[in-house]
Amino acid sequence: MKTESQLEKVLRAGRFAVTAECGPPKGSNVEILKEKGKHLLGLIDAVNVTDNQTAIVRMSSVAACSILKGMGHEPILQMVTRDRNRIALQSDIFGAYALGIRNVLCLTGDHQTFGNQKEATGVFDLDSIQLLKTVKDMRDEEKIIGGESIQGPPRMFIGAAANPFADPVDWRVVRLAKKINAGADFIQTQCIFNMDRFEKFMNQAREMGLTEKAFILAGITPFKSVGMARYMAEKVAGMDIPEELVKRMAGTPKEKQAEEGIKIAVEFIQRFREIKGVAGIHLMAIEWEHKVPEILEKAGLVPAARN
Amino acid sequence: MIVATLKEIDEIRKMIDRYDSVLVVGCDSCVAECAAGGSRETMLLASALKLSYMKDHQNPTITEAVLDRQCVDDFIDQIANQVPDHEAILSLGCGAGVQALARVYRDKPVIPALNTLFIGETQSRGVWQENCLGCGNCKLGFFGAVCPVARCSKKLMNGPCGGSKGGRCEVHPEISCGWDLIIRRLDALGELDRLTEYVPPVDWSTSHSGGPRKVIREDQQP
Amino acid sequence: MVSIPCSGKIEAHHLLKTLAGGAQGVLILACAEKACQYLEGSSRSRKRVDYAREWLHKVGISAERLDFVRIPPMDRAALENLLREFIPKIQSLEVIPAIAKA
Repeated sequence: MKTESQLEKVLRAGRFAVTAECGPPKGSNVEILKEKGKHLLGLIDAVNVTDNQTAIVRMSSVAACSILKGMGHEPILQMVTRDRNRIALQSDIFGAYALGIRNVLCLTGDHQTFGNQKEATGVFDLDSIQLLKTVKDMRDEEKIIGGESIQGPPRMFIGAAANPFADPVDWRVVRLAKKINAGADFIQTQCIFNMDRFEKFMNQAREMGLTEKAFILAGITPFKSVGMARYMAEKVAGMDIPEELVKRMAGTPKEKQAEEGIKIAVEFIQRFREIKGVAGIHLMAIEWEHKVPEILEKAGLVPAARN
Repeated sequence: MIVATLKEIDEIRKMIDRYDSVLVVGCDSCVAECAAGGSRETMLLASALKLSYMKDHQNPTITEAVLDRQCVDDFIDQIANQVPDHEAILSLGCGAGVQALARVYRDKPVIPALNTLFIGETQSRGVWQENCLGCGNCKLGFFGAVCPVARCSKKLMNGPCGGSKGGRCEVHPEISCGWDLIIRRLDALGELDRLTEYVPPVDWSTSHSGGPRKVIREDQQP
Repeated sequence: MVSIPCSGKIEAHHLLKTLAGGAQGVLILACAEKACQYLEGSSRSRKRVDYAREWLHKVGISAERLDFVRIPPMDRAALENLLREFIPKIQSLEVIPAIAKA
C-alpha cells in the first residue's frame, strides 16, 4: 500500500471497484451537495469531485471533497491545471491531504472557452502529466518541483484520465503509458460507448504491461434521453458514440428512454467485467446521481456483491 | 512577423475625437505584410476617418505618413518635422511601434489604431497563423518544428489532450490540433521516439512570467 | 474618368481616398469575369469594392456611392445607360460635406 486510500485498499484486494462522479453546486449551498452525496453513500468505493468541470464556476473541489468526507465518503479530488499554477496546485495538494483527502485525479481540464468565464486567462502552467509527476514526487521523494523538501508529504493515491477515442488513435496507449510512468496509480477513462475500440485499447494496454502497473476503471455514462445521446455524439469533445446506440435510444418511446439508457449502461458494465485488466467502473451519471443505486443494483454491483 | 488587425473606427474615434489635428502613421514592416498597418491601410484609415468626420460636419486635420519601421529610432525620426504640427499621433504600428513613438515624441499623445495579436507567419494569402509565443526557451527541435506552447490551446508539453478529433482542436474546428501536427511530422521524419519521454514542467521564467524582458548587447552599443 | 490597366488594380484605400477627396460617388467598371486578360483581376476587384463598401457602412455613409458593374470594354451605349442611372442615384443622396483642410 502506497497510501491510506480506501480506494487503493479495494483495488489492491482485487475487488471490482465502483467510483461515481459528484459535481459540486454552482454556489455555496452545502445542502445540494449533501443531497447528491446521500444517494451515493455506502454504494461506491470512492466519489470523484469535479473541479469546475467544463470550465463552469462551481464550489471548489477541495471544499466539496472535505464536506463529502465528513459524510463518510472517500473522495477523489479532481484537479485541473487550467486555473492554477504550480504554486497553487502544490499548495492545494498539501491542504487537501491535511483535510483527510487521500485520492487525487490529475487533469488538464476543459478549455476555458467552453465554460461561463470565456474571458478568463488559461493558466496551463503544468499539463496533467506534469501534475501526476509532481504529486508522485511530493509523495515518494518528499519534494516539490525544484527539489526542495517538504514537511509532511501528501500520501495521495494518484489517478489520471484516459480517452481511448481521441485522435491520433494510435497515440492513445502511448499517452496512457506516459501517464502511468509519470505516476498514475489508477486510471479513469472517458465515457465508453464504442466497446470494440475500447477492447482494442485494453488489448494494447495489456500487451504493454500497463494493466499490471495501474488499475484501469472504465468510464460509463447512462443516457437520459435520445437528445442527450445526440448531444454527446455531436457536441462533446473526445466522444465516440456509435450510430446504432443513438438509433436504439431514438427507437425507444420517449417515456421509456431513461429506462433504456440505464439498460444500455448495465449491459456495458457487464461487458466491462469480462475484459481482462478492467479493475472497476467509473460512473458519471451527470446530474443523475440519484439513479446510481438503481444502475448498480441492475448491474449486480451492490457493495455486498463486489466483495 | 508581428500580426495585428485594425481596430473598429468607432473605437479609434473615441480616442482621437478630442484632437483637432492627428498624424496617422503607418508602419511598412510586419503590419504591412499582414495588411493591417502598411501604407495601403494608412490611406484607408485616414480616408475613412476623414469621411467619418465630414459626415459629422467636423473638420480635424488628418495627415498621413508611413515609416519603414516604427520600432527603430532611425526610422521614427523621418516624421520629426511633421509631428509638431499635430496634436496627436494615431499609430498603425504594433504595440512596440506605438510605445517607441511615444518614447521619441514624449510630449505627444500616441493612440493605437491596431490590436496587436501574435508572432506568426503568412500561411497563405490572407491567412496568418500564430506560431510563436516568445517563451524565451525554444524547444522546437524536440517537437518536429511545431510549437506545443503556441500551437496547442492548452500549451501541453505532453500532449495531445483528449479533445483532438480528426486533426482539429476541441476549442474551435478552425484550429489545427498542434499535437496532431507534431505527431504527424515526427512520424514522417522517423523521430516519434522523441515523444515517449516525459517532458518536465516548462521554465516560464524566460517568458513574460519573469517580468518584461530586455536584451542588452554591449558589442552592438555605440 | 480614371483609366487603369485592370479593375483588379483597385483597392479599398483608393476608393475611400477618392470619396474623402470630394467625389460623391465612384462607379467602377470592370470586364466580365471570364473575359479578364489577367485571369483573376475582375473577380478580385469585386471583393475589394465589397470591402470598401463595408468601410463606408462602418463610417455611416451609404454604400451605394460605390457601384461595381461588369460591362464589355468600349460599349459606349451601355456606359451611357449606366451613368444615366448612377448619377441621379448619387445626386439623390445627401451630399458628403466637403472638408476644409486637407
